[in-house]
Amino acid sequence: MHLEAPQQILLLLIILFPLGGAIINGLLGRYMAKGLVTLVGVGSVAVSFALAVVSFVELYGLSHEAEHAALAYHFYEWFSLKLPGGAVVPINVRFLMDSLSGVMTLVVTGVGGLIHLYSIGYMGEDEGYPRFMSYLNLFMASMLILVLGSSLPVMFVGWEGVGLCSYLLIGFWYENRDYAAAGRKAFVVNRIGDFGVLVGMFILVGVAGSFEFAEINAAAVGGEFRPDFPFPIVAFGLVPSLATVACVFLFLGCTGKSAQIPLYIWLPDAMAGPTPVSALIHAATMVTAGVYLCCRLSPLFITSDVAMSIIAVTGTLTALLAASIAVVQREMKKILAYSTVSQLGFMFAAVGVGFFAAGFFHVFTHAFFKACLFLGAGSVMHAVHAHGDADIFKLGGLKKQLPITRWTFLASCLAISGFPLTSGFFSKDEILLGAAAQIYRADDWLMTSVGWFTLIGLTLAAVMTAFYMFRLYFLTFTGEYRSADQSGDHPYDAHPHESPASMTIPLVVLGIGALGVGFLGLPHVMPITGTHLPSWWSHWMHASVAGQPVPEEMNVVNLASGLAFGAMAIGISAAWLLYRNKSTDPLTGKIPARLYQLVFDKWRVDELYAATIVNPIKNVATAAGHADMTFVDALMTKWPSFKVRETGRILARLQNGVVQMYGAVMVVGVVVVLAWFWTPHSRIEAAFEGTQVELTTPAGLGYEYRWDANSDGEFETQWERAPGTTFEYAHHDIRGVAVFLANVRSGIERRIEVTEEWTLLPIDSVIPEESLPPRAQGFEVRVDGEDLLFRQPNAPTGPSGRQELRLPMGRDGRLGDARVFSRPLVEATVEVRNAFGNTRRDTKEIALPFPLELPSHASLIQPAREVVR
Amino acid sequence: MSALMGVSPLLLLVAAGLAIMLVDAFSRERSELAVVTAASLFVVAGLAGAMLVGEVPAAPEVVTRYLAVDRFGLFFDIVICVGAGLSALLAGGYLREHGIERGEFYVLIIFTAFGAMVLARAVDLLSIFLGLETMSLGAYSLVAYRRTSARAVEGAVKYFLLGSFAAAILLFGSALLYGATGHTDLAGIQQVVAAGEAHATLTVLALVMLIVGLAFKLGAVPFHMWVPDSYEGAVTPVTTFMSVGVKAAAVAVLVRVLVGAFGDPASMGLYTGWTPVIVLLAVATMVYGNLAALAQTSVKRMLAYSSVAHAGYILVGLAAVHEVGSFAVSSVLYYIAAYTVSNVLAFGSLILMGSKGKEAVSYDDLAGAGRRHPMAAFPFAIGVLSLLGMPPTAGFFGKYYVFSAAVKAGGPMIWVAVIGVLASAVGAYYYLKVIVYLFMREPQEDQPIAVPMQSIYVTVALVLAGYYVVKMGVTPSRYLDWAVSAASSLVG
Amino acid sequence: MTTRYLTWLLAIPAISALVVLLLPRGWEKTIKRFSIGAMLVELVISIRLILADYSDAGYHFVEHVAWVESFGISYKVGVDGLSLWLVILTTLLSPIALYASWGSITTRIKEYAFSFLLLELGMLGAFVALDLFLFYVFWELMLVPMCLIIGVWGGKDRVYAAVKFFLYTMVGSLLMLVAILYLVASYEKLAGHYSFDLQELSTLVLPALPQYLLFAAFALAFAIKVPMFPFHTWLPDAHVQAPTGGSVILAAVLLKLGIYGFIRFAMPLFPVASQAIGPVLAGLGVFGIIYGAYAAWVQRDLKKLVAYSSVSHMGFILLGLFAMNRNGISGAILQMINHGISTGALFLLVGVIYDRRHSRLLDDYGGLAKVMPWYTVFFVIITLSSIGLPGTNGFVGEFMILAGSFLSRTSIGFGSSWFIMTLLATTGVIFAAVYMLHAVLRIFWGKVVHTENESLTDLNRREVVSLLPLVVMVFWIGLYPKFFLDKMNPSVDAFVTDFTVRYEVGLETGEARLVDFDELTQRFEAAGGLAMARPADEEVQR
Repeated sequence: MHLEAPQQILLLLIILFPLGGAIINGLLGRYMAKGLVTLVGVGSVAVSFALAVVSFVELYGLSHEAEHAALAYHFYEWFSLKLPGGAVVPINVRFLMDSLSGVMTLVVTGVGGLIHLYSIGYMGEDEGYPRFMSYLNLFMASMLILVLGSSLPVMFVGWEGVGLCSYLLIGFWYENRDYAAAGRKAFVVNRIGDFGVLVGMFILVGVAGSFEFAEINAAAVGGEFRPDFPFPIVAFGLVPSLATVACVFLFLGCTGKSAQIPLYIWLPDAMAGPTPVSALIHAATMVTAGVYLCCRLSPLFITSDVAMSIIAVTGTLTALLAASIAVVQREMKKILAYSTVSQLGFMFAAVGVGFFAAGFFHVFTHAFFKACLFLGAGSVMHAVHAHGDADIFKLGGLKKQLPITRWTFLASCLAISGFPLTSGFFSKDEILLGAAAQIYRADDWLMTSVGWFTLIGLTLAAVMTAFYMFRLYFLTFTGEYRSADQSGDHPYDAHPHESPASMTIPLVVLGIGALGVGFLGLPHVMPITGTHLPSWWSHWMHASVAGQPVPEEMNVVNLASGLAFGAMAIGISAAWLLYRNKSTDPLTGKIPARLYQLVFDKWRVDELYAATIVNPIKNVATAAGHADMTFVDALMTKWPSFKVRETGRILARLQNGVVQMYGAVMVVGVVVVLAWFWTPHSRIEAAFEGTQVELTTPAGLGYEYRWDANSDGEFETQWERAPGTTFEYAHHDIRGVAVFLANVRSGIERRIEVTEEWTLLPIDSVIPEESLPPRAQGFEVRVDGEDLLFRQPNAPTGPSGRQELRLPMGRDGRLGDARVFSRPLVEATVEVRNAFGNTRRDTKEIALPFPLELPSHASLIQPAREVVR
Repeated sequence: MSALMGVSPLLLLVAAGLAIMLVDAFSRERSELAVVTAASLFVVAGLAGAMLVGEVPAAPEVVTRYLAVDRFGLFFDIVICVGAGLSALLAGGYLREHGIERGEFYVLIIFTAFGAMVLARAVDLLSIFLGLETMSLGAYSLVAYRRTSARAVEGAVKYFLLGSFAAAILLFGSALLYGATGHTDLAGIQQVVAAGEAHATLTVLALVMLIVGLAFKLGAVPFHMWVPDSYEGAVTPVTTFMSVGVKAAAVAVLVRVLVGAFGDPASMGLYTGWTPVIVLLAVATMVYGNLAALAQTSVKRMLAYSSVAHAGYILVGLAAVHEVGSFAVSSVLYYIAAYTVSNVLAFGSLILMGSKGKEAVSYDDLAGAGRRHPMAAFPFAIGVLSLLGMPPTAGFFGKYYVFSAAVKAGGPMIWVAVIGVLASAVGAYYYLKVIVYLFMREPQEDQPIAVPMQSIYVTVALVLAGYYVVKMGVTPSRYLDWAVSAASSLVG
Repeated sequence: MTTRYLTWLLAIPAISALVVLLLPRGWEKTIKRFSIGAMLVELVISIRLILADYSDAGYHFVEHVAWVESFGISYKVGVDGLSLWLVILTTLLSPIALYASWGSITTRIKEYAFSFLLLELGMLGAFVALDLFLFYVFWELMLVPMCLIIGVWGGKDRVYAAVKFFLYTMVGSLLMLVAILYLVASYEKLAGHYSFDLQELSTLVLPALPQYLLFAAFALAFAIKVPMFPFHTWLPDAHVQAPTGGSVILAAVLLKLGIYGFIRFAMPLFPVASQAIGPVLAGLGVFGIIYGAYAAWVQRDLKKLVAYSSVSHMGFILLGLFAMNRNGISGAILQMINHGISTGALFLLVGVIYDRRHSRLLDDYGGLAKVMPWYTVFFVIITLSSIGLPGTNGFVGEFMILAGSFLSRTSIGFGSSWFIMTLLATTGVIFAAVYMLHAVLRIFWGKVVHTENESLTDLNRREVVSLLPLVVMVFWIGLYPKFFLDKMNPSVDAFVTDFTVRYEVGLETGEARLVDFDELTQRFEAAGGLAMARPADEEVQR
């Protein structure tokens, strides 16, 4: 049962506070004292966190009264669309907090708040501090809109809003053009995803008749997708259900926002931004928006096995690919970036196997430990004064100087590796369980194989995760500080120091979170023992997120957690053996250099894209740019105008000033004029009076005429001045029948030839076929005695069906939008004699508009000449 | 006496001409002559106007047998007199500026105008020839007015040679027509031809010759060859007058002959009568005139070609008569009126642009004038825009009118209209070129700059012309009514 | 109603143009103040127009005075939901453009003001005219002042650009004139009297064949103005050469007249033809979207870049227009406003740096964010609106257009082409980001490489004042478009039903005929549309 508390103004305020902060800092920040900027920037987020907590508590209370509880706030109607059939779909600026968006709001505001706090210390010295704060606030606002928006378009506002903020923040140090370029790359790549989201939206509104998540889900569950909607893809020859198509397009958007194959390439470059940004946007919140969207529409996604499989496979591949790259990178943030991509892969894999809640639980835990890791990295960089990024092979042994950072970092490393009882352990375990469950559950080859692929792939990825994380940890914090003696190129500060409280507090809080929050989502069934545990998380999420059933079978459970634990163990111990207290990378020797280099260069995917997609398009664009000014312009303007002017010059040359020439030209003129009068002109017209036919030809000065109305060789009239005559045709005058085909849409009309054989009506040559409804197409015609016979051999539908139509001569027939009719045909001849005694004979066929019974000699088969009617 | 009221404009003009002769003979000071001439011409125009809007006085048969007393004629009286008067004013400024002012000029203008008016009223082959010669002689000598200039003389000679050639053709045509019908008066000819009693062969030959002869006066391609040279050779005020007054008379008589004598369906027929010939001439004239004008470097010569092109538009209107009758005729009348004022404005501004020693002839002479002398450049811009057919000017409405006549006639005439608008699109280029040079170009260093002249006469002429150019474009109704009533006096 | 707002709207610029003409050229300050003042008065009057109740589809503030009676030419003006916002766009942009011009235009102030006032007269006239003759007069009237603005105050190749603009547009509109004449002639044959009154002419139903020809003639004139590929090549030249103010008006208003012509005249008068040819034009529009974006991407001249972006944007509008449903058409109209605002602002912004550096080449800039922070802010905001970021005006328009074309049910035979066209058009969203952010990157980010850029001053008061209203509009339309849509939607709905009904009628008729209003109205109500006012309802004032 549903319960919705309307007009909760708090929801609006949660968003408005950061927004206001952004505007104030953005416009006035540079004129305000730093303290004030901080107050506005951090304060606004703090307030909105508080408000989020308050409304979450309210929601929690509500959730006891109803299964599906939610807080809602209807702000105003943005605009509306009108569907075919007249239904008007309003697009409301409406915010909704249910169990899903509630948790997300808490994460965003909570983690966000901590990172704001952290930024005070980290960015305080930067001259762009107010700008930074305002961007950060703007991001919070957009993210909250994304989370709280109750319909696709409103969510899309936040969706692109965060994209914008990410663009601005990555390029925050804009004076470095590479950073700015990285920002642009992020934005453009995300736009490719947004393209998918837009199309998905249109499909959904087309089929579900609404933009509201709730109604789309309801329609998906109830299978109420409007069947009457003339969906173009049907004409595509593709089989997939509309749900599948929509999901695939939406998922394209997710791959952009959440950095999945094929659109993940922007995230590593995004590390150009300040570390807090990496932590907040590119680890904890924004990049998880894709997962969030999938969960939001989980009832829709789950209806399409195809889409789900695509998601699962993509997620797994991404997890593997990114992890493999992370294994050999040298910079802290790069490693963390790829680890983020990899973890996002885990989340999507979970979504793909139908464990939405598990996927979102990983979002939740990941937010803590990954934010903590980034901030830890930031704290290290801050300590050693490394700008941009820190090469771990120049670090080492920092556990002495940076105790707090070290412990929190360690905690998070354990969590992400899935060390028992840390948050990552529970969430990752759940994901592997999902994969295993799918294998167990699935009954067709697709789902089974996807399940196996996911399970194995994720396990491998988990091994690598544990490995590269501890490689990072050991190289950074154990062994000797390698920049101490200031040797090597660009060594770091010789005397690192722990960061200020404003930076360490967030570290501690997040570190504790990384260790602890896992207990919110205990597994249903304890491995080995098989005792049932209460899982608050899945119960809570159940209200708003669909999902596959959690298996109870012990072998499945044990398999999953066994793999999880094993992966963790292998990964950590390998790292321990290889990197503890080491200062160089032993791997370099062990694996082939080429392969190592290839992996180190991120499998050269960027280069691949450049070669296959970017450059070709760029070339086309360059071509277009040139062609426009040269070819198109020349064709449309330069060439004609040149021709005209040239002709003018030639003509003007006639005027050569020689008077004889002038006279000659005049004479030519006289001759031409005379020539026109020299030859007689005639064109026969016919008017019909009952059976009387009035034949006329234009009267001319000094013309004489005589008519042979039936062209039988002897003239009925003598030479007369009167240009016309009337005649009544007898049936023996008839030469045959003219068959006409007219398109009532275009009015275009032409005479066609018919024979005793069936011949297709040449509708397509009168007017392009597609402009006629199907029922007018594919008609065949043949002559039968005095009548025309029509049939439509391959027309299952249509009023005319398959039976033959008989059309008597002189009558009109209507085939769909084609008018067909036959007319008795006679021939009239006139002889004209003009003033100079020149004569001219003119013969025309005339189609009589009334039936005449046919003489024996006249055949119906006639060449299609032009005819008077 | 009142019997002569009908032709009073003519008589008044003759009187004025004689008076001016006397004044010229006895007075030393010449400048007033311009005013006097213009004034008397305007008075005549006014008189004609009064008759046009009011009652057309009856006239005795002895007059009307040769000279029609109808609204059609009166309309042309106005057009011709206004054109001549404005030209006279321009001359007043121009001739004095260039120090070649002599009295006979004005007398010639007046008598040429007189000839033109006679021609416009002529309803008899004799009076047609009479008027034609009166006009032509005046025109010849006006072209040659500047004796010292070789070009002027050359132009005059060419004009004279070809003119007499054409006149001969015309005269022969008239003779044949008389032979074929036994009538010299158009009405009589009309009856015989319509009844089909005329000798067919001779009639057709006569028709051809008349068309050729009149097309020559009109300057229609291919009988236009004299136009550029003599227009360029003549002093600009004369060119102005030729391009408006003489052309108008030619149009008038062409309409009278074709509609008056050969107005029956058989003779007009779209395929079998004179209509196709007129269409032929119209298309050739529009296309050739515009294209050739494109290639000119001298503004004066460009305007000469443009006046050829405009003859083409007029012929389009005439060609539509076979279908839409008086609608087409009135469109022709309106066009000629609009064209008259526009052309005077353009030529007048050209005159104004130059001064003693440096006459403005080529485009380069106009360079930068818009910045240096905006008040002189402004009317020029209006003038060419009107000739170009840019709303809301007289020229646009005229074009609209003739083309709508053509479209209304339907059938192939629609395509004639299409050709017409495309041709005028080509024309837009060279008219625009004037504006470009006036406002968007600066003169080169070395070239001498044409300084606009200071002349009250020219100014007045331009103001008058400009006023009517705008007025006939913005509120055309009244002039429309005149044209319609004039046309309906000719064809029911 | 006999309130003569529209007449005032037309009279004020006409009169003040004459006044400016008479003022001595020495009084530059007076001329500037006066012309701006006149345009502000215009703005106020036009805002008064909003207050009318547009919930019904009919025309408002209609004035009908016989002009040339014997030809049925009349001075008939009125606004409805289709034209209202375009009128306001004009009255809003004109003063802004003129005011901004005073920064760079120093010579021949008088002529400049004169041309601008005349231009405004022409544009407003074309938007409010309900009489084809009147419309044509205003339509042509615009050419001359615009041509002068480009040709006199323009850049190096200004003359070429001006002449090209003039002739190119002229050719198209002359054929339209013939088409109008044919229309009126065939109306006269049936009705017995001439009329250029749009409402009367729209009772004339022509058979399909002439419809195709006439529509082609109209479409050519309008497509050139839009400009639709491949008739767009005059645009880059005109934009690059025109002075800032000229570019602004050209992009913001003049191009809209093409689309407006389609909506107001070509489509309702020739439904059968536009139904058949529309999708083709829409397809050309889609091609234009991508083509324009590509061409814009590789431009090195900033103004050219913006010019090509216009081609791209207008492609969207064409697509929405011929989707023939409310979403598409309302979206198209809204997008016209949006494009007017954002592209107008972009040209203003280009003008800002051009005035300082006299260069529009991207290579001459870089790192301006450091020296001109506020300028950067404005530029980025407008960029975002131009690439249709949600929350800005651009998004709403594009969203409605794409939804419209996606949901379009116009049968165009070849199956799923609307879907494909929508997909292609939507990729335009990506490319827009590509070329605009490319420009932003080249101009603003990075270090200041050219020393002469280090001393650049940030926006001055004039520039801020002229930009601010546009930024406000960007967000107003972006956040609360309902205010604008509510005024136009009834008219659009009526337009659609009207179109479909006429289309049906047009199919049925074999030869030209007049449908009487009762028949039409009945069919409207059958089609669920609003009844329309018969022309006889409001009497002609003489």
